[in-house]
This record gives sequence, structure tokens and C-alpha cells, in this order.
Amino acid sequence: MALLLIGIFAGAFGAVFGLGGGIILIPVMTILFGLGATEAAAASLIGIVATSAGAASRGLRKSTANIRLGLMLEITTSIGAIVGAAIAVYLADWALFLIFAGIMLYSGVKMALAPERSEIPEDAPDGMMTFEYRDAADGDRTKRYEVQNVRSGLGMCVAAGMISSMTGVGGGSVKVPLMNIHMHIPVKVASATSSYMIGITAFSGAVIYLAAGQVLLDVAAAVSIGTYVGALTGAKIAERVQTATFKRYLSAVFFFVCFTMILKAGGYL
Amino acid sequence: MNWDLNASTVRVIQTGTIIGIAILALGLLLSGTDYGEDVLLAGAVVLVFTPLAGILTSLACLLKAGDRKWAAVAVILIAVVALGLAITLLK
Repeated sequence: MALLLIGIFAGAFGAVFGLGGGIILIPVMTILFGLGATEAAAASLIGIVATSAGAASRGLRKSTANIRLGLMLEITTSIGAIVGAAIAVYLADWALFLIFAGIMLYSGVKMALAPERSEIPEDAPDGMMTFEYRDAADGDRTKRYEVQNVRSGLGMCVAAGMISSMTGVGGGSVKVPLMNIHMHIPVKVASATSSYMIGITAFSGAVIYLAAGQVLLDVAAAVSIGTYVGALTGAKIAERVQTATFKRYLSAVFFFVCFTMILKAGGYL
Repeated sequence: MNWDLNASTVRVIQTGTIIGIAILALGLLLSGTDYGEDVLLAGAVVLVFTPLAGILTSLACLLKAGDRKWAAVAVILIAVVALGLAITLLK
């Protein structure tokens, strides 16, 4: 029951901000429930698949989540995850966590200070990277945006995938600021698309854990049911928040993740 | 079948997830019996493979719409994911 409730909270949190919820699930399962790191990661990944489904469903229906963009960015993210898993053994954990903390600090500051500058005029010419979405918090107004810095963004997704697989956390917390700040994707689209992408990212890891028999199935079940329910609620909340407010909350989340990573680097978590 | 990209993909993702979650819930109710673990495993497998089903659905919709560039993106992604799984599972 407790896992179910924690799953609901993690799913809602993850769905609002385009994160998987692993940042909450893994410490809770290891510290409060005494699970091993591998067992917690395995159950968390299956929970993230459920979070992704719950959050992305709403985003896809409202066209906030961008499937084409998600598929494209997930290519290099997956490559990064493969590379990261291969080289992780050669790098000290504390260094990885500190790098991640630095990225989160930078993202938090940029998210808090930089105004949203993604919308393009209605009469701007269409290109392959021009899309539109409806902002429920702005009277369901249709807004157009053009994805910028595609090549470098794809390159950075390799790094995002590497960091994610090496630290075990943070696919969404790296990709959302990357999409919004560097690629000029509206923050709500970035968050919703990230929710769609993390399911694909979690799929590979979850299959590996299932094949290795490392999943505590009853734990994964409770977590997944909770995160799915939470994600459905979180996605509804996310679409109703004004963009400026959303960015402020998101920057606070990144500062929290930064703090968590520093604690992990110091061996306190 | 409705070939709208978003509508079709969300339908597959939602259906797969709900079925997976329902089987997992049943597995939790049956835990302690002889079948509990098997039911839980079945639910986990259905849930975990739902994102892949979503990608395949998206690919079908993109091909149907003649959107070859983005269909190629989906094919590349499937190949990368399959490669990653093969590398890890065969290690």
C-alpha cells in the first residue's frame, strides 16, 4: 500500500515535469524499504514505463507531446545510453554525480531566468522542424514553434543518454532543459515529449532486468499501478499551469535534483 | 484503423498499459498462490513492451501517410534499440 501511494506521488511528479519519477522512487525504495540498488532500479524502470504511458497519453491526445521529435531525439539518446553503460565502469561514481549536479544547476538557473522564446509567428513558413501544439493554459490557443539547433541537440542527447545510463537517473531531467533551452522547444512540449521518450528509454533497461530475473515483481506491480494513476493526474495538472509558473517550478525541481546528486556524490544517498 | 499518428499511438500505448496494469493487479491478488509469479511476470512483460508497440504503430501510421523521412527515423530508432538490447543480452 505504501509503495502504491509513493508510486502515485512519483508518477504525478514525473508526469508534470516530464521526468520518470526515478529520482523519487529509487531513494525511497532503497532507504525506506531497504531494497538493493539493482532491485530498486529494476522496479523503478517498470514504474517509469507506466508513468510514461499515463503522462504521454494525455500529451499525445492534446498534441503537446511531439512523436516525430521524440523518435528522432531518442535515437541519439539510446546510442548514448549504450555507450554510457559500456564506459561507466571506467569512471568514478562521484565524478558522474557531480557532472550531473552541475548540469542540473545550470539548467535550473537558465530555466528560472530565461524567458520562453519558442513561439513563432503564425505566418512563418513551414519547415520539417516546424510544429504546433495547443496550450490549455492559454485558452487552448494553437502555438507554432520551430526546433532549433537540431544537430547539436542530437549530439547533446548522446551525452544525456550517457549520463542517464551511467547515473541511473535523470533521462527527463537532462532532456527537458536541453529541448527547451537549447532547441527552443516550448517547455510544455519538451516536458510532454520527454514523458513519451522516457518510456522508450526505460523499455530497454526493463527488458534487461526482466531477462536477468532481477525484478521483484510484486514491488514493480505496486509501483507501476501507483505511477500510472499518478501520471494520469499529473498530466492534467501540467497542461493547466501557465508557462512562466511551470518554468519556475521546473527550475526548483532541477535545484532539488542537483542537491540530490551532490548527496549521492558524497555517498549520503 | 484510424491512421492518425497521435490518436493511433495513444490508443496502442493506453491499451497495452491498461492490460499490463490489470494483469499486474491480478497477479498481486494471486500472490501467494502457485500462479501469482507467472501472472505478475506476464503483466510486467505486457507493460514493458508497450512503448515498443507504440513505436511500431507510429511507424505504420507514418508509412501510411507517406511520411517517409519520419518513418525512416522510426526505423533507425527501432534498429538502435534492438542493437542495444542485443549487445547487452548477448554480453
